[in-house]
Amino acid sequence: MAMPSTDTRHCCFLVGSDCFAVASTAVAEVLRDGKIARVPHAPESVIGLIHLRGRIVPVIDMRRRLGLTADVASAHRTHLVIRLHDDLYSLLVDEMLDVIEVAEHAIEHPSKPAADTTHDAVDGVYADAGRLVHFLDPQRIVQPLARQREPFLHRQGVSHGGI
Amino acid sequence: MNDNREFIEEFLVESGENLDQLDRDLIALEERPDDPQRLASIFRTVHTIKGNSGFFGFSKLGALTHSGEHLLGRLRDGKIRLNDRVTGTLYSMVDAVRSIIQAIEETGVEGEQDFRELSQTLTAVASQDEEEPVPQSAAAAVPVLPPPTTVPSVPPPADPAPEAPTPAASAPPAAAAPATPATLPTPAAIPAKPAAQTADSSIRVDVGLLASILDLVGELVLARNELRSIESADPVLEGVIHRINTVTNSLQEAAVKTRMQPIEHVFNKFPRTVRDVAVACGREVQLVIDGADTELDRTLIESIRDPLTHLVRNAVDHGIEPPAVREAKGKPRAGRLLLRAFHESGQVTIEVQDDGAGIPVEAVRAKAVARGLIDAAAAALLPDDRVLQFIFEPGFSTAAQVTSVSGRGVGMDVVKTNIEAIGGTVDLSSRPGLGTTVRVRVPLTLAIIPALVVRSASERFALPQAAVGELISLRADGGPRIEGLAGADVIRLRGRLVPVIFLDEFLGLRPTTATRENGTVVLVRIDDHEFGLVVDGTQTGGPTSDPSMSRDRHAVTIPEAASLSTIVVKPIGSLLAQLGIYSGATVLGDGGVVLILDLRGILRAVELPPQLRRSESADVASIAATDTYLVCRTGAGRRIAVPIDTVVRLEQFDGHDVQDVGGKRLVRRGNLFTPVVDADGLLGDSTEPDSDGAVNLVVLDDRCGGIGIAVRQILDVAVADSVLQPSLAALGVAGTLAVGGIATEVLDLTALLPSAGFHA
Repeated sequence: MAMPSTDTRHCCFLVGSDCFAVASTAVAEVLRDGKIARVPHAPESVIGLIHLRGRIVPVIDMRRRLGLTADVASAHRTHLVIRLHDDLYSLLVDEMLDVIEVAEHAIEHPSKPAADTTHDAVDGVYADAGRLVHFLDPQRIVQPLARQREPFLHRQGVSHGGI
Repeated sequence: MNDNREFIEEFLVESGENLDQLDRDLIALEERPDDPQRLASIFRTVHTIKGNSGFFGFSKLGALTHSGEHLLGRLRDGKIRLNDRVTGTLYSMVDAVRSIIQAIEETGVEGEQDFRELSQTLTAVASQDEEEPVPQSAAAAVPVLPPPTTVPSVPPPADPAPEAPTPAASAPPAAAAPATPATLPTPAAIPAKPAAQTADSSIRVDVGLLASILDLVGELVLARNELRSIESADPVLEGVIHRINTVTNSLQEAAVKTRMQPIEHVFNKFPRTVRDVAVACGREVQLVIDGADTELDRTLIESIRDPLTHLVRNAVDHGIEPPAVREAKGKPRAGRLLLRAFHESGQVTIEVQDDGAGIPVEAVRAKAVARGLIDAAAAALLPDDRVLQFIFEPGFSTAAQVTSVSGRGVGMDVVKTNIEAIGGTVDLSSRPGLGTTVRVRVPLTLAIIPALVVRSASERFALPQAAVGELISLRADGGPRIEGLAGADVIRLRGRLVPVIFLDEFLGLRPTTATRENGTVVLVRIDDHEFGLVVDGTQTGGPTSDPSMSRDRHAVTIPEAASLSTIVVKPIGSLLAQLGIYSGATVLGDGGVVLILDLRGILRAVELPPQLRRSESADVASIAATDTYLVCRTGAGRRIAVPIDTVVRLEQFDGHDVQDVGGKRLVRRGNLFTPVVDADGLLGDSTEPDSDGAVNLVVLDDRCGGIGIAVRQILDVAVADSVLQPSLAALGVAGTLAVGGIATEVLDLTALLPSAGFHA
C-alpha cells in the first residue's frame, strides 16, 4: 500500500496530540470553516456534509476516526479536503501544520497494517525534528467507514403508549 | 496510429450518426423506391464511411462499403431495381458496418469477423440482370411488405457528408470489385439544404463541460441569493443587484436546457426495430411517431432506450396479429403502432399503443392463480385492469410460445424496474380485440426536481414531490390524529388506516417524538404502498403550493405555506449513498446543505407490512360504501366518475372515426351508431378536440340515451369510500366523492341529456 507518488511532499496536521500527514498529491483544498449538515445514520466518524463549490462533500471527523474520544472545541479546526478516485472527502483536523518533504526510503513502513482504528490507516512513520509523523493512506481512512452503519430504528412491532 | 486517436474517435461518432441515417433512409427508400434524392443520400453516406475507413486503414470496412457502394451505384444508375433481396442485403451491410465500428470503438481494431461472404453477396446482387425475374424464393421468404413509416416532426439530422475527407478518393482501400470511383458524384453536387442549415446551428460539446457549467451556475445562484439579502439604500447598487438577479435566472434556465435532448434520439431507432421485428414475425406494421421533439434530460434518454425498445418489440410481436388474422377480423392488414411522447404536468409521458388483439385478461388471471400470486376466489373478483398488472410480475408470460423476438410479459418486470429506478411509472391498459396501450411516465430530469422541504427536530430534509400525495395537519383538538394499532402507528384517513413513520425517530434525531399531537403527516405513495411520514412541519415561505396537490387530492388541510421548491440534486458519494435512505443532497437558497430522502429506501428500511392501498386496504367497516364508479380523466384533466351500473361498455377508437352528422357527433361501429358527447363540453371546459389520438368512449345504457361520453383516459373501477357531497354550483357535476382516496367529481347524468340534444 505504499504511495507510489514521486512527489515527496506531505501535508502535516494535528489530531489530538499526534502529528499525521497525507501526501500533498491527494489534497484538493484546505478550508477554514464550513457549515456542516448532519447526516443521520451515517458512520460515526462521518459527521456531516459540506458544500464545496457545487459539490457535496462528506466530512470525516479525524478525532473520531482515529479513536480519540472527546470532541475538543478548537479555533484551529480545519477541513483538509482530499481527493480519492473521483470523490472528495473532508478530513476535519484539529490544526494544520507544515508541509514536509520526505524521501520515500526515509519512511518506515509497518510490516502489516494495524488492526485498531487508531492505526489502521497508518501507512508509515517518520521521525522529524523530535516529532513522530504518522503517514495516512487516504484509501484506508475512508474504506473501513463503508462497512459501518447504524441499525435503523423503527416502530414496527415495538409497543408504545399511543392512544 | 495513436496520433490518429482523436480523428478516429471523431470518425466513430460520425459513423454512428451516419448509420442511423442509413437506417432511416433505407426504410424511406423501401417506401418510395424511385426517390433519387434518398438513393443519393444513401450512396453519399456509404461513400463517406468508405472514404474514412480507407484514410484510417480499416481494410475490412473499406472492402465491405466498397461492395455496398457498387451495389448502390447500380441501383442509382437504374441497372438493377430495388427488391426485398436488395434491401435485405443492404440492411445486412449496415449491420455489419455497425459491428465493425463497434469493434473499433471497443478494441481499436476491426476484429476477427469475416465479411467476405457478405461482400460477395453484395457484388452478386449488384450484378443481377434487370431482365432477370425477381427470385421467387426471396419473394416468398419475406412475406412482408415494407412497413410504410411516417415520422412527422423529425427533421433529418445534419448530414456530415460534405465534410468527407478528400484523401478518400485517392486511397481506395480495396480494388477487388469492379468499382467505378470515377463516376462518383462529388458531395457538393448533391443538394442537401436543410442538412447544411442544421449543421451550422449546432456544435458538439463535451458533456463534462456542460456539467461543470451547470455547477458554476448553481454557485452563481447561491452568491446571487446572498447578494439579494444585503440591505442597501444605494439605488445604483440596487439596480445592479436587480440586473444580476434577472440575468442569473435566465442563465440558470438556459443552462438547464443544455441537458435536454429531444426524445427522437430514442425514437429514431424504432422504424428499423419495427421493420426488423415485423419481418421476423411476419407482420405488417405502420409505425406512427408523434411528439419526437419532446425534450427530456439526456441521462434519462439513455435509461428509457432499452425499456421502450422492449415495449415496441412486444407490441409488434405479440400485440399486432398476422395480416391474415387481421383481415379475418375486419381490420386493415397492417397493424398500427403509435409511439407518442408529450409533456404532462412536469413529466414526460410516452405511449406505446398498438391496435392488435389486446391481452387475454382471462389467461392472465388463470396464470396468476396458477403461479400462486393470488388465490382463485380473489382473482375472480379482481377487476380486469388490476389483473393486467400481473404482467409486471417477474417471469410472467402468457405467450403460448415465446419467440426469439419477445414473449409478451417476459421482461415486463424489467421494464417496470428500470422505469421506476429513474422515478417513473408504467401502466398498461388493454381492450380485447382493440389493442394494448402501455403508458410510461418519466420525470423531465433527475438533476432538478420539485421537492417538498420539511423540518424535523430542527433539521431540514427534502422529499421528492412525485411521491408526496397530500399533507395532513395534526391537531390536538379533533381532526386527524395518530393512533396506535397493535403496536404500529397509523393514521385514519377517509376510512383507511395508513401506517405512519416518525421521521425524527426513524433518523434518531431526538429521543422522544414531540410530534404526536401536532406537526404534519406527509402522505407518501410509492408503488402500491402508502405511508405517512410525520414531520414537525414544512418549510415556510418560498413558492406557493402546487395547484395539482390541492385540486386533485382531497387534502384535509395544506398546513402552513407548504413549500415546493425546485432543487438541484447532487450526489453524496458512495459512503453515504450506500445507507440506502438518501438519494442525494441539495443546496438551498440560504446556502444550507439538505439531504434528499430516498422514500423507497425508507420504505424498505422500516419493512412496513405489505399494505395495499386503495379500496382493498380499507377498513371495510368504516367505508361509507355507496357504489362502484368508473373513474376517468377528461381531456381538460379533470377526474370524473360515472356510476358503473349506467355503463354498458367501453370503446376505444381513433379520433378520425367520429363523424359530424347534422351538428351531432356520431361514431360508427359496424352498423351501430353511437352519439358522442365530449366530457369537457358537459363540464363546461374547453379543450381542443384531439382528433389525432385515440378516444376512449364510455357508452351509457338506454336510461341515459345510449350515448357515449368521450374521455381522455379510463383510470379505474373503484368503490367510493365516501358519500356523495352534492354540488349545486358546478356545471354538469352532481357532486364530489372520494374514490381510491382521491376526490372525484361525479357526472350529473340527468343534466347530460338535454345538453347532448339526444332523446332515445
